[in-house]
Amino acid sequence: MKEPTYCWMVNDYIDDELRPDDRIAFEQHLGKCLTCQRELEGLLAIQYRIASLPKNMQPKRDLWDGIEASFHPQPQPLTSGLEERKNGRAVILQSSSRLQVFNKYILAAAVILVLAAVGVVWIILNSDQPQQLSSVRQPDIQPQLPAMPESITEFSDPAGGTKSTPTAGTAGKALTQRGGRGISSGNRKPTRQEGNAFALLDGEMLDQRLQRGLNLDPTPLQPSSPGKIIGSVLDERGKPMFGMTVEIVGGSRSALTNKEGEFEFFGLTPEMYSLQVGGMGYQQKIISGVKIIPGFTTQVKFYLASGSISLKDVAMNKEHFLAQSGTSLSLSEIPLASYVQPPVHSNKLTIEGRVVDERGRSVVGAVVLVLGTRRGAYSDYEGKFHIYGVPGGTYTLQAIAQGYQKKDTTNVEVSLDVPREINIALDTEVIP
Amino acid sequence: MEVVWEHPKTVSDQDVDFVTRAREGDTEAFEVLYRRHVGRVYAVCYRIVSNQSRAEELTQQVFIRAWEMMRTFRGESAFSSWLYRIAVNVVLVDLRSERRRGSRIDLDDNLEQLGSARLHASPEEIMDLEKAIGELPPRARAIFVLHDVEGYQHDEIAEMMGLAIGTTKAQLHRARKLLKERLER
Repeated sequence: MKEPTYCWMVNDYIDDELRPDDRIAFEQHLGKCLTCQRELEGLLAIQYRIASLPKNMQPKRDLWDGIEASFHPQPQPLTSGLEERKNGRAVILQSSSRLQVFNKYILAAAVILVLAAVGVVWIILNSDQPQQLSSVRQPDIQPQLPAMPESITEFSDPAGGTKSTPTAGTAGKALTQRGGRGISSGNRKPTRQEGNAFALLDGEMLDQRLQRGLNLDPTPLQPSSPGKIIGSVLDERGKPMFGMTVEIVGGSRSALTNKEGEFEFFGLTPEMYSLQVGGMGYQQKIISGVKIIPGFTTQVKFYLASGSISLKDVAMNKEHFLAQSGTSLSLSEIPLASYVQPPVHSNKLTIEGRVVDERGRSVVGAVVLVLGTRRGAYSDYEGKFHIYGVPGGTYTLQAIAQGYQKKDTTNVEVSLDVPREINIALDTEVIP
Repeated sequence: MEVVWEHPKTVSDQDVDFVTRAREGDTEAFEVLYRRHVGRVYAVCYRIVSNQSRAEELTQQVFIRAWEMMRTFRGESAFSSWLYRIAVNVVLVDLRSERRRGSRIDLDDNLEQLGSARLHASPEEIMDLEKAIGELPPRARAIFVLHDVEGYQHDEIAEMMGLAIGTTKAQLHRARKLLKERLER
């Protein structure tokens, strides 16, 4: 009955976990037990292969911006109960260490609670006693940021609650009522569809404000004011797609589209985001370069071809509106290519390329350095490399690989306008 | 010719200045530390959770946690060791919550991430090995990665995971057995 005991010791033997006397006994046993010998050989082979595993694996995307964004404090003091609850979400995201025990479902529940609270406020404000309630409501509403969900209501006509689709002119007037909209806009509850149309007007009205040089908004925008993403997922015929999951890539936030195919994310730190959309029967797709500008709403619209996995997307924001004179409100009329932004950071770019030998074969594991910076990368199994976070400029790339001569590639220009794919051909090292 | 970027394994001494600056709130210094160590941190996260997007989220969490805890780092150990310990803790917390939510294994045929392979193993061999590791049961995989890849001892693993040493040993042996079987298929 000794055999099973000794054979069980193989793992402890290679881990050096055996006591000296057990080790000696096992080694004596090993000399005559073919089973243990094979087991040991197999385990040592695995150990050898494990030793060849790379200690470093580069993530597919640069995670730094998401990390850095969490360093900045939220811009506005918490001045009201309503705002405090909303900003609480951002605070939660910032203090991730305390919230690791929270999962997505808890965050989703928190969002639902916040939305429910907003709904209750909305119902109260539309009750039969607007004058009485306004005195209570005023301090809560006054400091709200422009990108909050109920900001839709501020675009209603303050004069008479007309049901016609608001024009830019009426919207401009509505902006002047921001501080007192609780009184004037409480007469009409917009339908869901109207709300969506109003939301689409948001960017244009703000543009008009900027273009006219008017300062109609009593709440000045801070560089770090949060922004919002609203959007919708539609099929190729423009039919809303219900129940599609839209996620912020690299974050812990996701949203399901409603029956109108709409979704939204609010309280977002101004930076570049990638959105991932998917759902039953569709392949997930990541859309990069969705930019949040402080205090503004970025609109995203996905067109999902039915029965296929192709996806057309539009990401647009205030800057794009500014670039267009006489912008149409119909997103679908705007050329797609003009609004899909490259997934770049404000001033940091990526150098990509491939390292090959004289015969064009991939060189694996070459180190490619951007001289004068702290940037570099290894080439992968196809010889490809990706160097993230390079500021714009002109650099020398240095490639070093075992068995090859060191190679410098000079005058590598890194800018938004110049393709940054660099091919480096290495010459085999000549051993004298 | 000045070369200021180096492999993370060789720069631990150079971390000191950046750690000092980062403790004083210098985000640029912390970014340097991030660039140096993100590969190792991501590798630990990826191998234990076996899911690319989750590993990226966890990697971000690790560095955010490290930033928040920078003032508690007293330099008694190398910054890299301190950081990797945070990484392991973060990923194990996630693993526990993942077990509560139900196991999710999402194998990525992520060849691009094998870019820093050592030269004596072919990319195909490494890919097979990574896939075989990814197919292990979550807890056995975590213990295997921590012990055989990251070099933690059983007592450390048992403490971090709240398990008995006998359990971590049994799980490690199980992982190796499964791995051996899968690689021999």
